[in-house]
Amino acid sequence: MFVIQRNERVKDSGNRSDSGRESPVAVASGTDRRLFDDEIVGEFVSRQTELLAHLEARALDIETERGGADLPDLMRFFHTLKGESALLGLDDVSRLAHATEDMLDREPLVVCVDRILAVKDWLALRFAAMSGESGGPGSVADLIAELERGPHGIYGLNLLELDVDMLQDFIAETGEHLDAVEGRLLALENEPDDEEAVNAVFRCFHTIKGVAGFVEMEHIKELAHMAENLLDRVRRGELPLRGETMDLAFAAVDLHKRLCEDVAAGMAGDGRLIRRDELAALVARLGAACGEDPPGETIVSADGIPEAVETDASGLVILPRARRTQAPAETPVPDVAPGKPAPQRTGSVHRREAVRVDAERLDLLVETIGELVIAEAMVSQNREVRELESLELERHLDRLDKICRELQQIGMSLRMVPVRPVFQKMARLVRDLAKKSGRRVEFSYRGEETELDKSVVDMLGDPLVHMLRNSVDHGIESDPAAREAAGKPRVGNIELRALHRGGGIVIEVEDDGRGLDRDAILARAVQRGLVVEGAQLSDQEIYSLIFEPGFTTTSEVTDVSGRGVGMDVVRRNIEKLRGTVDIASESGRGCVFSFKLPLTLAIIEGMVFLTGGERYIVPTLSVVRLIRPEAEAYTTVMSRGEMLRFEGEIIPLIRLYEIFGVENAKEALDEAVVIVVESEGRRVGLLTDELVGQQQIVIKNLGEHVQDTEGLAGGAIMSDGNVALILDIAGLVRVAHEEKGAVNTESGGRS
Amino acid sequence: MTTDSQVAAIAAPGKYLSFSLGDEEYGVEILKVQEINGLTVATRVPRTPEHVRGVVNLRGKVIPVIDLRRKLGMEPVDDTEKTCNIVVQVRHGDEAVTMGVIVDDVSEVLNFSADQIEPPPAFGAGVEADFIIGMGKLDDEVVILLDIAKVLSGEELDTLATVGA
Repeated sequence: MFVIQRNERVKDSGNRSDSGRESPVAVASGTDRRLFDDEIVGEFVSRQTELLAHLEARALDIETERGGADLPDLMRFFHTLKGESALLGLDDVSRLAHATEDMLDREPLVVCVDRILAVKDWLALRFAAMSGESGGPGSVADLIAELERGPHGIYGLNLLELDVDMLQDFIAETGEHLDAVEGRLLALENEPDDEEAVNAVFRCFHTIKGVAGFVEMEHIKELAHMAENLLDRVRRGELPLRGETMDLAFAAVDLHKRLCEDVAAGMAGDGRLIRRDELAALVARLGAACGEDPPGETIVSADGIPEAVETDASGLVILPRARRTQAPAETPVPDVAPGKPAPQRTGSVHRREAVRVDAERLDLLVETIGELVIAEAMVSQNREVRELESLELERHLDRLDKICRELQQIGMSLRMVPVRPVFQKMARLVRDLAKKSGRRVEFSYRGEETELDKSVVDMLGDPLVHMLRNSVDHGIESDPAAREAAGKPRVGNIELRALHRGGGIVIEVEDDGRGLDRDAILARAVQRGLVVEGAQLSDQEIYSLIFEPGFTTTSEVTDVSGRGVGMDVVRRNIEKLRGTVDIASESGRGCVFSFKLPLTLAIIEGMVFLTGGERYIVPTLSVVRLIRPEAEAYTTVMSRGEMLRFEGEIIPLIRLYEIFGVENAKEALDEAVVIVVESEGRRVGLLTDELVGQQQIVIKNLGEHVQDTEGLAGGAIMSDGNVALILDIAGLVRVAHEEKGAVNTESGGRS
Repeated sequence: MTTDSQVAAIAAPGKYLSFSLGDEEYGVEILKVQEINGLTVATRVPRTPEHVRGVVNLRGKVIPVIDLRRKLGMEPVDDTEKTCNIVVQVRHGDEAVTMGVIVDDVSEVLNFSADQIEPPPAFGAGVEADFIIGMGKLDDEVVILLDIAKVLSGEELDTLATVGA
């Protein structure tokens, strides 16, 4: 049979190239005549004509209905065609039908339409040629190649016609997987023998591949497939995961990310994907690295891989859905490498179930719980209720109170996510920065499971990027010899860590570089006029100068850092998060930057105070000290600007009641309480009547028309059901300066 | 939409909530009214215009409360038992804004047909009245129909939005 076919193909193609073509029927039937008579072939051809018309209609249906229901029908058609044409010796038709069948099996129907139509056209021409009606089709090899070229039809796809929700989930999940992969790869750079990590990376790509296929993102599936193959070879010990292979793995991660971004952008836009030519290039490189033919050939079996359910980056595990079970290896198989204990990784095996919830609904829940707590307080503190003096009622109220508090705790914890994804991103960043600047840096992080409010975690990335840039570029010495001479290891060390401290979170970046150059900073500050020459400043004060906008001690600007923009951004961002920055540095030994952050943005620890019967709140984080100033600490400048001496500094005194127009406030210094607050590196004293207490405050927007009032950050609902206003210290200081004229402005900073 | 148009701002027929300020009857589209509350203690917000009485807690949400008398430049009076806070929801740009409006007394819901609504009379210069979108005629009285969104977003508070429109 095989021989016959080969013969025919030769003959057939020979006939086709024959420009004369005097008798196509004779040629076509002539070749087939040896096995079947004209009648059978004729019957076959005439039947095909009808079927092709049907095929065309079906193919066009796909675009209108987008249903997968037609797939079996189409498959059956090509399968039958394959068999019949092979039987009749029409080898080219048979091969084409086979290729089409493969394509249909491999790719989602929607992206196949154009190619199905091309196949139909080719077949129509081919059959027409057999019955002598036309000159015959083009090369079947080209067409087959086109069918096999695979999923680039994705660019013709309209994303908006797909299941957008599912795509969005897919992007989010893939992003988390990629972050996990990145983290593992970075770990693998230092610990290349960690088989569990290799397996985890493999599993991530495997999952991405499966889900990508399901949501019809064929190009991502293809890439994931190739990355998976690469990791498979690594896993089998056929490729070492370093050098080129490692770079390839990282490149695959990056391209995945970009492709996901494209999908997101496409969905936000007109539904079209932009073409990524590097995809084909990378796929080819991956294929070459695997020593393998172009994609679509090797199907990696994931059998034997412990398919631990991936804890995703947010610490959540997505509830398995139907499509997840499509992944072939969902059954947990214990160990890959018997005899060698796989290093235990936190969170990789532990299974927790989670549900993705719309953030808005979550906020609504937390808000409603807040209302409940207030309502509860209003009832239990109600005077009439108290006067009842019923023990039973009291017991019930206590219970209610406890439940409410628990509920509030739970509500708050709902928004908490680990900082891990941000830390993982930083690991990648440091790796790239170090490579770029030619330094050898070992980066590690700790406390990545520490949880913070999601909005805080989201905003943490920017300042950390700048911090780490600073550490790599300015902290770590570029010359390993210099490090050695200083008695330090040749490889620089940067550690990022998160820890709980005093009701908040501290994020620290520590490097063992050369530390901050106190004298250089001071000299530069004097040169820029930030500090008066000869001024006596504490180390802390000098270090905080680096946060001044545009401040840099470097004479040359590298492409990594040196423009003096970064640190300014750091402080701004941290203050936006209601946090503070501290610096500890030892010359030659390195330095530690600490960000102190609140656990959440929605709740702050606040100090409630009164001024003239009005209640205000100042965020405890900005409070430096409460003082009752002595008369001799008080001075005026030009008999207008009021000043207080505080810890050797001269700070402006702001009479809040003046700025806020409050009546009946205490004006005498010896009766009042001064709250010394700090914002943007400036300290001011706020004159108030008395302190009421300290409590957790849920920050609320003040609403249209009043929310932009300068000096106010928002409102809080107090336990009596009324609203108290929260001060915005930075705004208040600005207002005070405007009203007092220029006197305080210049002397407002550090002396 | 009515907030933007200068010319075609004529009240549509339908239901209006009527309330009084002194001897005058006013009406706002019932669709914009979320609820009617008694007076609660408003927290004064410093550095805001006089007509902003302050902010109150509306079931866990902080909303601003506007003194309509002051906003319309009328003589302020002391609050009485009848003084009410009408909570309205208006569109401000893309956002739905909830605010309280303090009025002397809430009267009733009135239904105006198209022929019962007349365009606002031409006031002399000096009477700021583009937020009056019509006069509702009843047998014995006249109800001044207000575009409450326009009232609330007027003048200095909303210069940016006005310029942008």
